[in-house]
Amino acid sequence: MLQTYLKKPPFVLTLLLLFNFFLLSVQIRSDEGESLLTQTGLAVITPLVYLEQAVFGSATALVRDYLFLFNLNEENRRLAEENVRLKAELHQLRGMKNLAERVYLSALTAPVLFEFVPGSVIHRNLRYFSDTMIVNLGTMSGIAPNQPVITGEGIAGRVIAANILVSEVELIIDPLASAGALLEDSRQQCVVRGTGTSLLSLDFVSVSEPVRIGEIVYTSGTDGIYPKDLPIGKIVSKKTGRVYQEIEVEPFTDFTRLEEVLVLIGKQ
Amino acid sequence: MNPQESSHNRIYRSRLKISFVAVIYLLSILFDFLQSRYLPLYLNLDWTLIFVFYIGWSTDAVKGAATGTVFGITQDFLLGTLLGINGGVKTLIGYSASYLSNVLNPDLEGILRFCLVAGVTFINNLLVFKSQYMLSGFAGEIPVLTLLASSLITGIAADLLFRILDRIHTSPKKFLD
Repeated sequence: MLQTYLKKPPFVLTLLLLFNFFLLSVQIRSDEGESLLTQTGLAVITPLVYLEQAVFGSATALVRDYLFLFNLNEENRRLAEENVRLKAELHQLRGMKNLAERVYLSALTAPVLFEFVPGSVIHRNLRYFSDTMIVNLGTMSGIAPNQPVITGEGIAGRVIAANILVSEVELIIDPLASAGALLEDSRQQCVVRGTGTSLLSLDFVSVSEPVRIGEIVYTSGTDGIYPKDLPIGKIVSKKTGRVYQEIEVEPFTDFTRLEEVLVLIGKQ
Repeated sequence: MNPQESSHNRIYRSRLKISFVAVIYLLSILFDFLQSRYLPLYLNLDWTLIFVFYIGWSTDAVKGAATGTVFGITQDFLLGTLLGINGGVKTLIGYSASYLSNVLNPDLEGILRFCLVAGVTFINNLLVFKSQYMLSGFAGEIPVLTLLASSLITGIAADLLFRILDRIHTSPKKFLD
């Protein structure tokens, strides 16, 4: 009976299309975060990434560390990690200084420092529709979805999925990524959005709002993911639209050279 | 369609073995994987589409559609699109290619075959982008000109590749047996 139906092209076509629709339906993300497929994909890719690291990473590290640099590289890596941590703390302190200068806010807001976990980028997915990376930190290190990921220069993205050993990070330049933002001078609240290119788009800035080229854009802390006053980037171009300005922001983080990152896992 | 061409096409169909499809599958994975990392979108050759179209054209509709699903879902995984978008579209392409090969002259050559593949690629691109934007809630504009360039390039590549595969098919024993 089934054999007969499986030889009928329209029946098979319907069956296959339904299968694809089923696949699509289970992937639409809930507001809370990841889907089952994301977790499965991450679980599949984890051993591959570690294998790649073990094969190519170990061989490269061996040559680099012992033949060419004689342990200097290890020291350099440790210092680079510390440098990233210090830069991030510096940005936090600068943000708090700005906060304190605005008297009405400084009276109301207590300074907040965040607990960081340093990690390394072990894989980068460069695709047309998404821009993500894999970091060597998992739930064992306290990582959970929606935790912000930063570098010494500024924000990098947010964790979208994590298993025990690694986590996947959606970069802020991903076309589907966005963050609450505010302008340095006017403190105008707006939204910064990834465009799939090296520049970000700054949305919802009214045409009447004065905007300066070179003005720094910070996180506003209103999106429930990124804490307030983390640097995002600087404005590099602006055009006047009908209601809102079309503004492009160059992120401070150099996404082509991402090696060390910090994941903010909670308040200290 | 004359009887001689029909018989020739039947030989194609009988000769398209699973090992040949497996080789094509691996090639499409390799090409898609490499170019998605190193080439800009306007230079994107949709290898999966080319191969699915070819298999659909050379076999029956059931095999064409099934190949489209498997190849398409793999492509979704490689390109980061939602699993099932390329799967669904390529299923339709595999099915349609088989249907078209029965309606049109199976030895369609030159500019006609190029136009056919380029047109199918453009429709494929629009469907994939539109679905991805709609389902993921992304409100960007579809880069129509980029997709058009990609379609033309895919059409040219498909025509060249089909000529090579056609030659292989004239002596199938060497390659397939």
